[in-house]
Amino acid sequence: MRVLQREATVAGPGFSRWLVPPAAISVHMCIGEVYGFSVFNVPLTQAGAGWTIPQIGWVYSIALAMLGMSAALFGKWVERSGPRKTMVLSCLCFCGGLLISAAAVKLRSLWLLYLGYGVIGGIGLGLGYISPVSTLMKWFPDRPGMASGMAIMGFGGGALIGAPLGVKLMDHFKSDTSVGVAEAFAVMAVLYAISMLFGAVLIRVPADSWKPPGFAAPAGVDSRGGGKSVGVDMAWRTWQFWCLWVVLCMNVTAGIGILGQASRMCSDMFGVSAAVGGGFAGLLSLFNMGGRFFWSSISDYTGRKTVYSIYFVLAAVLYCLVPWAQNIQSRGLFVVITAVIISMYGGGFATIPAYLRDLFGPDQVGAIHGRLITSWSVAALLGPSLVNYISTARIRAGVPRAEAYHSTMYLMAGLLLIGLFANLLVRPVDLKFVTAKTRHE
Amino acid sequence: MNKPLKILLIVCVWIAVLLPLAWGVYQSVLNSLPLFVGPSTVEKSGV
Repeated sequence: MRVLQREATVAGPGFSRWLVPPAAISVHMCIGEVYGFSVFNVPLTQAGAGWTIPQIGWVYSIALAMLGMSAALFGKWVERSGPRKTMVLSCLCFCGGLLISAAAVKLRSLWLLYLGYGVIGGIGLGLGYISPVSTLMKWFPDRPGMASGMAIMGFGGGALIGAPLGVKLMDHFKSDTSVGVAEAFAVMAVLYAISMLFGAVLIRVPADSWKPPGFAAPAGVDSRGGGKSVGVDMAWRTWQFWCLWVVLCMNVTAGIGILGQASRMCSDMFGVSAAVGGGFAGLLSLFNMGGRFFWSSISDYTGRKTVYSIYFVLAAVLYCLVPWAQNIQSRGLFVVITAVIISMYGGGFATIPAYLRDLFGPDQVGAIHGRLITSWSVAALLGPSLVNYISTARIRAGVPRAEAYHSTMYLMAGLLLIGLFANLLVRPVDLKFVTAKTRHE
Repeated sequence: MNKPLKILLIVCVWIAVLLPLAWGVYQSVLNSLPLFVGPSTVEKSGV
């Protein structure tokens, strides 16, 4: 269809670039629902199919693995096809995946659930995650950090919407014969399709010659010759790419270690009820979302390398203070420390596309970002496993439950120092990697 | 499109996407309340 082609989305004169961030947010706040999937875990075990929590847990893991894989595999296609076609395909996969999941619950087929939410929905996640980010940065060459922060903040916000929406829909459709999961999936598919298609209609790419009024490209990548960038196949052969891979992996590992276990950790360390632990997890989600916009916007003024150095040094110090906060039983201090750490975790996600743009140029930043996201998949396995494994081993060794997390905190601080080292190694990419004209190749 | 109409369109589009986000933030704040109003006397669950 012509209307989906990149050429059909080139903005005419007079188009306001401030219409593009809502397009990106409307997609990201839908696919961010995946973070809230855990609200379906228990209801799915009660759906009458005899499914267990570990079996349901695989749905989320498959979806996140497919997110990383599809972003890495289809990144080049995304850059070539343009954002509208990708956003529509993302919508078809993600919302189609939800509908298949609804059918899976009705048919009591676990494999269909894996295929629907995990594989097909996961592909939708990967496509939807990278497609609007590079477009936004092309519209905001003067504020690329803020631009990517706006989109990726939407992803963090998606978790805040998806979880309560799922709970309310299940409550609404619950009956004597149904736990309401299938109906909730179906309604969410329709609501999310409306939002994602709204974004696809709204999205535009700037004309090749477009620049914001009064903008002069700073010395560096973009000014190396309008349109000259490092291609994705060349980018991942540079050591700078792998430095950033380690930077993101360490940042995410350290953050997700806390975020994934927040409720239990708070209960164990301070002996609070599950409700208070849940409140703590809710608060962290807010800081995760806010940090995505705040820190990435700050990076436009400080530079990407500086802001990541701040993340790593400050977060490492704060991690070392967590055991102290527990020892003096200061719940307030613990909350403040972890909230700042999680804001920087979110900031790390949101700043990385702008960092890639600085190093490799704007043309294939979406595809390069897609390949870098594989570090997220690795970190998503590493972080929670480290916290779980070490704390469980310490408790078995006779350490009081409240103190079982101390060594994990020091380990996380160590991982952040590895990230700091990788960040300090980053230097501008050698001009021999710059391709003559990579746009739309 | 004249300028006031363009600004109105931008504002409407932003409101359309920020409303669900604001609802999500509100829900999250509601979920966080037990952290601040929860019992300060803790019930130790440790070893």
